[in-house]
This record gives sequence, C-alpha cells and structure tokens, in this order.
Amino acid sequence: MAGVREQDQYMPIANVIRIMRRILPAHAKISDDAKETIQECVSEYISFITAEANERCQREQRKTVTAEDVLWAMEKLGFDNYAHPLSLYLHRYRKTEGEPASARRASASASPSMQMHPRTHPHSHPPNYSHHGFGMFDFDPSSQGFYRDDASSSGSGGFVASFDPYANIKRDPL
Amino acid sequence: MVMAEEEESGVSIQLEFPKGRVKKIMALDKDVKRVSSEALFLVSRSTELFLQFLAEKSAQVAIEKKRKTVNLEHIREAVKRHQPTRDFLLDELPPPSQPTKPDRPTQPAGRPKLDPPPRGTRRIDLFFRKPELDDPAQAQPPENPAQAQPPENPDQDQAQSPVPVDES
Repeated sequence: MAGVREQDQYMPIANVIRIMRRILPAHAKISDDAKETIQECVSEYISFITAEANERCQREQRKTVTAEDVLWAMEKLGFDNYAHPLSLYLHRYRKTEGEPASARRASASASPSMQMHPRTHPHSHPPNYSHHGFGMFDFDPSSQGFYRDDASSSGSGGFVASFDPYANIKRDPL
Repeated sequence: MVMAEEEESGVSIQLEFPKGRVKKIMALDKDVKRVSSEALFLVSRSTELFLQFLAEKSAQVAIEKKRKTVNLEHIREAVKRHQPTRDFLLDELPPPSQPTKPDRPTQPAGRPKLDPPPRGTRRIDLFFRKPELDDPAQAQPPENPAQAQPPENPDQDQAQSPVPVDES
C-alpha cells in the first residue's frame, strides 16, 4: 500500500560491514559516509543486474527470471569474472536443494522467516550451529582462517539435515 | 588446484545477505514479475562478491594514500578503476566535494595622509581670513594688524641676534 520504506531499499548495514571487515585490513576503519555509500552501491548493483536479467526474460516471453538470466546478465554487463564462481555455487545449491518439490518447500519456508527477520529483529530466533564449522567463501588464502558468524541464518528441517553429508565429506580428507 | 580450493572453501552455501531484503530490492523494478529461488540465490551471492571486490579495491586506494580510514573518495577512486562498475555506479555516487582554496578578500588598506599639520593649519586659516576680509567693508582695521605684524617679526629677529653673541 504505502511506499517502500527507506530501510528496505538497502542491505542491512550490519551484513555489509561484516563482509567488508573480512576483506579490509585489521586496523582499517570505515567512515560513516562510506558505509552509507557502500549500502547504496550494493542496492544499485542488485537493481542493475535484475533489470538486465529481466530484460532477457521478457524478450524470450517468459515471466520468471531464472538463474541463467542472472548469469547471462552478469556476463553482458562486464562482471564475467563472477560467472564462473557463481556457476559452482549454483551447482552446489541445486545439489543441496535436491528435488524441486523440496526446493519449493525450503524456499517457501525460508522466505517468510527471512522476511520476518528485518521487521521484528529477533535476537533469540537465529540458532547458533556451534557444532558445525562453516567454510569461507572468500578466495583469499589469508582470510580462510577467519570464523564466520551466521546471525542471518534461520534454521529449517531440510537445512539441518543437509549438514550430515558435508560432515562426512569433510572427515574423509582429515 | 584452484578448483579444489574453491570447492573446499565453498562447502557451505550459507548466504550473508537476507533473501527477503534482496527480493524486495529486486522487486523495486516494476517490470520484474517473478524470480526463481535459484536466481535469487545467484543475485545474493553475486552481490556478496561485488561487495568484497569493492571493499578490497577501496582498501587498496586507502593504503596507497596512506590512510587507515576508508572514506568516500577511496570508494570513488576504486569505482573509477573498474570499467563495468564505473559504467553503472559512478553517476550514482555523491558528487566530490573537493575543498577549493577560498580567495582571500583583498581589503584595501587605509591610506594614511601625511600632510604637515602646521602648513595645513596656516593655509586653512588664510583661506578663512580672505572671505572675512572681503565680506566686511572695513578696510582700515585689517590693515592695521597686517602692518603691526611685520614690526613684531623684526623684534623677534633682534631678540635672536644677541643669543648668538652670548654663545660666541
């Protein structure tokens, strides 16, 4: 009904700062105007990629923007260096989601909880999976040793069940 | 090797950004009707990569300029150095507010007039006396003091003459 709130147009500043901290040197600081500008840059990037992906989607007379549209948009817009790692992520994502039916259920259950998170800001809702160590997505070797917080994650049945296979895979090399 | 490292480091597909927020930002475009969960996942992950890239480049600029605080100018410089990012982002950034050197207001210094007061005083008096002499028709009274003044001057001169005699 009403216009989109100012907060909803940008990424949460906490998430933005957390990711930046991982890249920046330990002693580096970020000015307040830089934080706000980064927030706007990130939102602008999402809108930029989305518009391009949607253009191809409509050109082919489809109604749903797909992963292929996103990959195509990034290559066309010059972010081709992202296409390869994202293809790997997509492949792994499809493995994790498994069957399309379970994928729909997982996304359906995940979306409301994720949408609720920014509104109510619950501190006790996100569970801490302290017994499982998450791998880092950064490709910098120097940052592989950092431990990542998953405050933005929300637990679901399928998601918890998916930990066991990876734990087994991790144990084999060790 | 690189592939193995990527696979090892990418075991988890945990997203940093909340999907709901990404979805809302994507939906700001009215033309976008529906987005698959895979597309949403890719955009979220791609945004993380972009943010990491932007942070890394901004940090490099800050280090080059020997600064410990990343500010707006460092982000702007980082954006300029990457063509694809510059194309869609440079116009969106706040305009640079470079403090130009303010021109000092050149106030004209007061010019002090160095006129000798005694001369000015005499001249002013002379000018004032002339109209007074002309206005009143009496010519005899002003002539008397005019004649009286000369004899006073030689008196002063005579008084001055014995002084050097005493000195010698």
